[in-house]
Amino acid sequence: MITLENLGMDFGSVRAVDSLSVTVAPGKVTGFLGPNGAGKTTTMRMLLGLDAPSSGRALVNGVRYAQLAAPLRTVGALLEPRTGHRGQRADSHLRGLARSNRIPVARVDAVLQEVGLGEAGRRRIGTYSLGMRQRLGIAAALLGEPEVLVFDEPVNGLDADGVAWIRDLMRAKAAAGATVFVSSHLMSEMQSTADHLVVIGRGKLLADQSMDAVLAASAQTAVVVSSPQAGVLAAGLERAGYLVAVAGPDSLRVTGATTQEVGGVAHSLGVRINELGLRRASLEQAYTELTAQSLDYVPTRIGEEP
Amino acid sequence: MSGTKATQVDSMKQAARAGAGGARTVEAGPRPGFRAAMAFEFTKLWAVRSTRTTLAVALAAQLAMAWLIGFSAWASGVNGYESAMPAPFMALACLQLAQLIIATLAALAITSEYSNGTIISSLQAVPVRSRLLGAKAAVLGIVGLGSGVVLVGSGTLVAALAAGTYGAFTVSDLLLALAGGGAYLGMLALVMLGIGALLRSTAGAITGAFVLLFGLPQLLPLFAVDWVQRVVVYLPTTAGQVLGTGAVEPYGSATAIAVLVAWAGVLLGAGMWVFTRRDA
Repeated sequence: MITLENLGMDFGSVRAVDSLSVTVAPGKVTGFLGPNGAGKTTTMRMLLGLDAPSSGRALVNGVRYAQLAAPLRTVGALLEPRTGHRGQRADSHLRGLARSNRIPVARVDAVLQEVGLGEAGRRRIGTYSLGMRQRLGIAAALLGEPEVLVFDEPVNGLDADGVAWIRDLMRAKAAAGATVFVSSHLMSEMQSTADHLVVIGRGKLLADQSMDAVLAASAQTAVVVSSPQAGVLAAGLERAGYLVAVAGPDSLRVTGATTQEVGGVAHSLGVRINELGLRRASLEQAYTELTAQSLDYVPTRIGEEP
Repeated sequence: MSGTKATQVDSMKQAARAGAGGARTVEAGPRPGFRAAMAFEFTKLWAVRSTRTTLAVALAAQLAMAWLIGFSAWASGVNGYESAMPAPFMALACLQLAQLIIATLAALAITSEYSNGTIISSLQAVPVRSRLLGAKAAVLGIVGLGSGVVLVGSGTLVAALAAGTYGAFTVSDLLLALAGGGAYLGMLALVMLGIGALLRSTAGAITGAFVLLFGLPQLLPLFAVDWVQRVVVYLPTTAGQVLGTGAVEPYGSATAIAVLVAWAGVLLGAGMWVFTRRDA
């Protein structure tokens, strides 16, 4: 479990992260979204104790990262893909990490297999492609069989197979009870991976909701209904308080209603229905709506606590 | 597979122990401490090919220099010049070159982590910063000390062979030079680690090494000012020579050790102060 309590970071006069309070729960994949420069990486760096917060705290299982007895056995993190000395072999890089946290060295070969590096693990890191380095970073994160995974843009540099692989990996770890906190700017990818979303813009929290709730809240999510008596149905729906728009000659878009509710209204009016279905917004659309609002934010000045 | 099983058993034991302890998170396996951090640092240092190449170059340079000095002592001696000098002290004089290589190695142990991003994964593994830098210091101190002993020892052998009777020495000469060379390079490694942690830049740290080891000892004596002349003898290079030759001028071995420890303490201390406070 990850807990951010009023977490804040100032870079000079810029409030990079502004009083974030979020709990990232186990057993789910939590997507961490926001435009470039929104403060995602800074938040993750504070969580791992790399940067000291200007205010608030970031805790893993209730303690600061530096207080964890064996951090790699609790938290597996991928922050920086270009890690490791170019002249060092990948397996030796992992062996060093294993020794630092007294993880059995046998885990090194196990994780190299798991991420698909296998024999390539005997090569020097300098010979690796970006995708291979990404896999090595993930291998390092998995080394200590941690219960918390923190990934910053894990699909960078991965090919289509790699993208599908990491999606399955994160889903499997979450299903096994792990806390998975992953940042990404690829919305389609997130939509098929995350259960829960934390969205920030300009360092401020914009949403902390389940994927379903975020999609349902989007103006793009609507019930589409077609009926030969569309006019009658539209009047009835508007009386019931739903927002109705004309979508075609015989069809309507109803916002703020479920399919059952629209069906119920039609039934009570005795109106025949030819088609009734939910058009869900894509995460891309929902995200664009959320972050468009964030552009209207006036950043708070230093010293003016909201 | 058996490793995983062992971990599970350990984890159960740990859980049982932690159960009585209180609210702390249960983490499987033994708690890593300073020795685990040292094993980590040693693995990183030794696994990089350039470390082994660098040390091999230091050894080659040392042996070549020792032969040269030994041979010139012999050549001068047979031509009637007063040139005899115990071979271990010849080997010690050769550290002039090797010290730069050890200094670079020590600085790189921290600056290369900043340039290639490894510092991120190192701090994830060992987030207690004083422990991480302390483990680096311990490993580099040992490597420096070991290098000093090996370089002086092997240099003595070569110099003695080249110089013949003009390099005659006693066991106590040898022991003194070995201890002095080891202590000097060990402390120098700590000084350089401190400079590296302060500057975070390889170029900056190597420049610092040149200034400290060559620049100041050459330039400062040119200033005909009284206090400069008194200060110049407290440079680490002078202390290293005193330590390895058992000289009594300008000060004795005890002072020389104190001088080296002070250099290492101040610079490593400053490096530690910055490292534990600045964002990675």
